[in-house]
Amino acid sequence: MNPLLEQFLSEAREFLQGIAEKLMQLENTPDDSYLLVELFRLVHTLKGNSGLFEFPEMTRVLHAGEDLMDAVRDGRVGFSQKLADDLLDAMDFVSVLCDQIEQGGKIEADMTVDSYRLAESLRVLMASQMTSAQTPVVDDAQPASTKDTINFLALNQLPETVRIDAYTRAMAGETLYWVIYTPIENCFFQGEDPFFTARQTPESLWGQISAQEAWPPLAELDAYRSALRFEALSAASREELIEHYRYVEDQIQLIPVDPWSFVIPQGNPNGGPVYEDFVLDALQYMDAGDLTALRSVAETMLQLSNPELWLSSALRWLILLLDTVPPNHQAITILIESLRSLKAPDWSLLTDTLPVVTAVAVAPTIETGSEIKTPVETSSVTRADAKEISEADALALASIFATQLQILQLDDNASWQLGRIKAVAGVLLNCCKAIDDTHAIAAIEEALAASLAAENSAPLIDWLTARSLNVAVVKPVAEPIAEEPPIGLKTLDEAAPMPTVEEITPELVSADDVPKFGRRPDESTAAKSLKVDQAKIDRLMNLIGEIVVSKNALPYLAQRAEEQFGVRELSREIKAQYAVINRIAEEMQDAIMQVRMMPVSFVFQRFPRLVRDISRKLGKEVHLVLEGEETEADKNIIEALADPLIHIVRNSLDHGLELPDVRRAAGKPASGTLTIKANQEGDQVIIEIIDDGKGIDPEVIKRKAYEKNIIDEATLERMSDLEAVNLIFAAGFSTAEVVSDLSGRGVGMDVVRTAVEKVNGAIQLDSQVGKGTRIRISLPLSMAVTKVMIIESDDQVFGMPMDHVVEIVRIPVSELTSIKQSLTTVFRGKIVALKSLNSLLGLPAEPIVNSDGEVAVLIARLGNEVVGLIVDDFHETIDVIQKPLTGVLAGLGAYSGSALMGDGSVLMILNVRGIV
Amino acid sequence: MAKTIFVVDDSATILMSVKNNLEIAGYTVESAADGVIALDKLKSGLKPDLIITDINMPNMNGLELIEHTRALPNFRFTPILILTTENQQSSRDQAKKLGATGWLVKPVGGSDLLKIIKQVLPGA
Amino acid sequence: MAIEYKKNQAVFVDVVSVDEAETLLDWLQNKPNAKIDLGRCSHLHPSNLQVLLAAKVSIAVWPKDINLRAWLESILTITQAV
Repeated sequence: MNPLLEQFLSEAREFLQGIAEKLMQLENTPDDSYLLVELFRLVHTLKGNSGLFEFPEMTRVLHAGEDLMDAVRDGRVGFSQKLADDLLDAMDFVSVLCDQIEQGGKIEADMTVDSYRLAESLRVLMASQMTSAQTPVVDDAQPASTKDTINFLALNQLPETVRIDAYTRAMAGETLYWVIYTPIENCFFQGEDPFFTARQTPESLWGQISAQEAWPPLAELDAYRSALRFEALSAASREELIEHYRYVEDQIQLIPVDPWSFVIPQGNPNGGPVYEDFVLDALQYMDAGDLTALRSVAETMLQLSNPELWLSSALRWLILLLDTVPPNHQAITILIESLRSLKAPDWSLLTDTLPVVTAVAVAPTIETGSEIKTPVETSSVTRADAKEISEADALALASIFATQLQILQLDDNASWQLGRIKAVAGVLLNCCKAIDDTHAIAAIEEALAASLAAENSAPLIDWLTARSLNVAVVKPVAEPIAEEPPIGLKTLDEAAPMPTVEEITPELVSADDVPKFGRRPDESTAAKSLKVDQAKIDRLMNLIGEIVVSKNALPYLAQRAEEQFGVRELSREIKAQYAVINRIAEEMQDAIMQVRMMPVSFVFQRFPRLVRDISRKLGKEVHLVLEGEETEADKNIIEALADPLIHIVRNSLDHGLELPDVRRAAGKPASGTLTIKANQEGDQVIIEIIDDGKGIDPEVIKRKAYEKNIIDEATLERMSDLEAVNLIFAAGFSTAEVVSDLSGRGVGMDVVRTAVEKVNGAIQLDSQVGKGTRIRISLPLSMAVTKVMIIESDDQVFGMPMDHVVEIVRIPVSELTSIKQSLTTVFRGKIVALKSLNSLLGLPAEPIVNSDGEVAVLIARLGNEVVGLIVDDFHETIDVIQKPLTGVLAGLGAYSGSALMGDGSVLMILNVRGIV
Repeated sequence: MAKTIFVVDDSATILMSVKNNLEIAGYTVESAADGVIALDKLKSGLKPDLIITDINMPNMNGLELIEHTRALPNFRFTPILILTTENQQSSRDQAKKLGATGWLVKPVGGSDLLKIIKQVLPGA
Repeated sequence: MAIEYKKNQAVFVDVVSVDEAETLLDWLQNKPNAKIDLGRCSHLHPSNLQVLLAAKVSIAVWPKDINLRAWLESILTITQAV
């Protein structure tokens, strides 16, 4: 996309957002003239911008909107809800067009009709609401151009050659105009140079300057008061002339000049009656119609005469008139008669004036619709979806293998090569176990041993290569996969940033220009901010991630230096260097994080519109309060926040706030208040959504939860009110009595909770019946770096996000009790359910009990509950850059992502909610 | 010496487009995002040969900018073109009265813009 | 410099802008017999032309630019003839 279009789209979105905001503010203060002017300005500028491109659909609608807002601004049309609705519709339409342009570079053909409809409806609205029905009549009166005003005197001053040229052109059908340009006195103070304008008169044949008045003594002269008049004879069309003088139209006169007016013999009037004979002869020839003879006589006469004479001039004109096709006999006669008196020919005697060769207006060629292309592209059927499951599995396997091969083929000298080999082998083994390919398992283990021994990946590569050939032969479906994995599995050598997994709503797309720096490439701000492509920042993120991983290899190196080679001194130096690099890397990481920060206003800004539309639909009156919009958090967090927040707001409007009548009856103001505020607390961003609606009745929730088997009877009785109301976040819970069009789309608040937890956030609700509800979401400022604890189970290591870790304890086996087949223990006076990580992950091994008869238990927080995970051992905590799982792995609920360790091995990060 | 043209518009898109066109044609282009910024620049030494300004801008609109600019001794005679989507005769008249030289209705093609600049800027 | 002021002659060079008119006016007030060299002039703002006309100067050198010369002759020669 060209930069100008990119700029346009990004700015258009800002404008659309601004327009929507202003419209909504106007609903509260419809008389705010500042807002009206601003609103007009935005629509107007956007329309202007759209005109730079060939987007007639967009310009059409915006133009209608602009006219409407102009009328509103001038008070010709009153502001109304209907008007706001229609304009918002129109802006939504424009927004859709922007999306289409961004995605496909053009506007879809079927938008044309809609654009006409929308523009028309805006115009109808405007016409119907005109307070005073009078549209200003544009008086386009042109300066008078009657023949009476022809300035013969001036024509007189034209050199004969110019007049001959003008006459010839006029006879050929051109209309010649006499332009009189009388600039106004103060025109210099309007930045004008009338002389320059006059000099540039199109197709000017001649021009002259005259003074409008006598000049005062030099000392009294005001040089800056314009007192000149400019005149020009032009062969240009009236339209061209008016265009040229368009800024001074009121200061010019355009007078069409009759061609005969140019025929003015000039010169020394000597001779007098000497020419009487010639005149008589000439008239005789005329009577006889012998123009050829007349011309010959005239020429002879001309040769005998002094060219300076009036007679000579007249003869030259006579010859010219005779040469004109067709010759005008009457005109010739008049000219001959003038020779008798030596006075200028009296052209007023001429009855047939112009030998009219009226210019035939060229009919504008109508654009035929032949170029309209009908979109015929039918998307080819996607192949992966159509296959059977076994084939899909085969495809997935093939692509996994292909990726492993690529991993192995990466630079062999990396210090983490061994970890990488192990990781690859692990993947291959697990794959083969999954398909019960025992032959392969044995072969892989063999190759792995060989690779580890040789400290290079060749044996494994060999196995993989052989395998892929085999697979290709046995299962032809898998064949093309090696080159082009269709599953969306990113190959590692694509340094491109991992795509973010979250669905991005159309409005969100504009957010790609993160961070929200200043928006104008204007010098005054350019020095302070840059607009940076997201991909560039993602690249920085990836690079710093790699630095972090690489630097984490240094302690391993130090350890090896000491233990394997026994050089303690070197080991210490490596560690010292590591400390330095570590500090720089951390600072750099922090700096990059800062760049990724964006304000929550990015999400908040859509709420005024959302709340307005929904409350209108529900017939509720809602006052929206937004606070702390400037609070910043990582872009990914902000984006992940958008959908849950919208859901919560919808819920509040739908179920929380009451109808005006109900509210009044309850002694509350008819209009409900919905507050959405953000603020930063430590390294968390807190977002609260507060309504003063009817609140949530814990008893109703408990009963429902019980009915839906979400809680048992014992829990029901034990539960506090606070715990009860938070049950609405439980899976499969929906409180609405009637499933409304708005919130109950089979998506409950559990989806909100899941989304929040996905970005390591937490959500909590408290509510008072009759008073209102408050939902509090806490989110990390940044999700790029995750602190994880490494835990071990069945000889494998996993990462557990520290956010989930409450405590790690060792509990004697004797203190474990089985209640209803589930293991529990009493921990700090509370009953905690225990689960074995091995069994959760489907690993067949039993938990390891240490020599003291204890098991290792990780107490994990799960929302507001805790659960104990029995593992084999705990290790250190580390900072990792977590990458989302992509491709086939994306479907694995047990893991939230993966991270690369300093030794090159891959650490899978557990998703507690996904496994418990 | 290249003529300097000062473009004032709150739309970054328009600025970019006009700037491109003018720079390709060999002009030196300065720009500002609204009247206040523009006036500041004019007061602090910028001496363009031509000013092109939008009308509808935040902080200070184009008409106010013209009025203030004409009051500066250095800019009594500088040609000022208005580049706007508006096209009302009343606004045009007002602009003219305040000292605008010409009025261009957006969108203006690059060649049209250059043509008009050549018309108001002798030696351009 | 669009006008080069010599001892008794003002030489117009290239485009003589509106800003020159006041200086020109002052200069001509002090040099009533000064002559004007328009040879290298390609255009002059009418404010300057007005000064030349009011001062009834004589043109020492006409512009090489034929178009400019034709326009200027239409008024400067008339004034001088008077």
